[in-house]
Amino acid sequence: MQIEIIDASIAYGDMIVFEHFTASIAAQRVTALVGPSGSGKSSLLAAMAGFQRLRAGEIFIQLDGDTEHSPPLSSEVAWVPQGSNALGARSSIDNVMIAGLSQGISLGAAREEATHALEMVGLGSRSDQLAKTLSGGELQRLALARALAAHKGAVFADEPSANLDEANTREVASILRGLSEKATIVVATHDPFLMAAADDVIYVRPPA
Amino acid sequence: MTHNEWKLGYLAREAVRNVFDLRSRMYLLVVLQVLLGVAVPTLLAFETQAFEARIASLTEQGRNVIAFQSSDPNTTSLISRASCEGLASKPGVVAAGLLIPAGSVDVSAVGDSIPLLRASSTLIPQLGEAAVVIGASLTTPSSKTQEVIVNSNASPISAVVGLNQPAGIGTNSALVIGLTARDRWGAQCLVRLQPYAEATTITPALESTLVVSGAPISALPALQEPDDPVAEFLQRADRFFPLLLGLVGGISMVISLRLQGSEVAVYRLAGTSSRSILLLIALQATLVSGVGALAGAAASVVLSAFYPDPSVPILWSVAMGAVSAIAVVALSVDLAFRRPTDLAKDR
Repeated sequence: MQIEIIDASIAYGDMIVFEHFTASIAAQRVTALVGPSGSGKSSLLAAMAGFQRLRAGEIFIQLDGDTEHSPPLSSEVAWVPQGSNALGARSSIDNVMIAGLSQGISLGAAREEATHALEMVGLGSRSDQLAKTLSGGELQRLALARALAAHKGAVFADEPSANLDEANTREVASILRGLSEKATIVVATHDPFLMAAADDVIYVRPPA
Repeated sequence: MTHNEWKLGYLAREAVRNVFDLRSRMYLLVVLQVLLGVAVPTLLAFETQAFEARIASLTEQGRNVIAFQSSDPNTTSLISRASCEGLASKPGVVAAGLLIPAGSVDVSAVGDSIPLLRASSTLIPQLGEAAVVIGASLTTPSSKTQEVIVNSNASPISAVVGLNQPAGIGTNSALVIGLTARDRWGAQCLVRLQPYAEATTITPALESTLVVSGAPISALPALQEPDDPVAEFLQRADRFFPLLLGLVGGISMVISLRLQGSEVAVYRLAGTSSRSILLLIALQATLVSGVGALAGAAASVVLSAFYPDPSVPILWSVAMGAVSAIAVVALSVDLAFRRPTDLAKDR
């Protein structure tokens, strides 16, 4: 999945976050959207996922087979949120299975996909453990497993290393790199480890 | 193969696991709903008992006892025995018949100068068991049947202690014997209506069937009630209390759902559509509220002896559950449509 951002502006009321932003994100690579806090990288990521409207400009998502969408469809994207979002009272595998179940696949198939995804992020042995008993780093990997099990053409991660130590950040970076074989990965971050792990880095400029 | 939507069965499974898992926060809501559900029939039982006690007290004071007699105290009206006794079989009527004063008598073991009344057996059904019914106030209830000697020179005759009659019937302090074949007319036709019957509606219909000779008659209630206690009970504002409890249960669940906005975000960001989220919330609300309604229905069955109609508390319990579920869905619609990236930031 390739993404083209053309002359995009995002504003909240009268407050312009950024404007006239143009960039191209290549398919099957890890791209880091970089900028200081408040620069609008998370807002841009949300706009690319179809969760937020642009004030001006356009974003084109090029799917396989030359199908193009603008504005983007949120159903084409797997989103890894900032922090440790999970169904705390449910097991790790239940948390990952919802990705498949939400696409209408059978329970058995969803379980199979989830098991595979948990193994890929190193949580295979924790599949029956309650999510609320996982550490912050493990929860972030759980969110990545959910994104992986969704089998989307793009995975967008919003500050996936927030609140993680260096070891966990490196692990998350490694997983994201592994995922790029299957999907276009875009990471909103200001973490140097993740920037270093990215194939491309795009700087989101704060307003002048 | 895929439909990009949850299959309904799996969504229902998800709802069941979210609601009934002991580790889930929603389990506390289930417990709350059970308590609210049990509260509905319990409250209704207390209200019904208080209402029945009030009606019983009013009945003793003459509520729903009607005397048909001459509307003018200076002129006499005669009411036919057949038409008066015929009222006993009318809907809403417990007993009806003529009551004719017949002087007073001395009775061994009861007392001297006891008023004697002749009455229809349709008014005093115990006249079918014995020749004499002794007024409930004249003897102790423990001596249920006995023989009495009326006047010192007469033979013993069978007697039974009468049931306590409401004010307006006037037999509690008298001896009652049956009407004779010659008693074909009487000046007063007494009617006892069922406790919850609406006297103002029934009385004119009953009066119209009476055969009267002489002056016109009117219906005189034994007890003048300023307000209708049945209507008061049926129209009391706190009859809607179960709906209020349903709202309390529903709002509790809404608060809980809003505190778990990030969990809604997990579903949305995993690809669950707004429609499926709304359906999941509705299923969870139905399960939680359904448990409350079920608990209410079960408690209603256990407490069924305390209601005239046990289906009433069951219906109120179901109404409570319905209000709870509707409130949850109505007040949580925005959760399904909010931007999931914003929901993810809720804690």
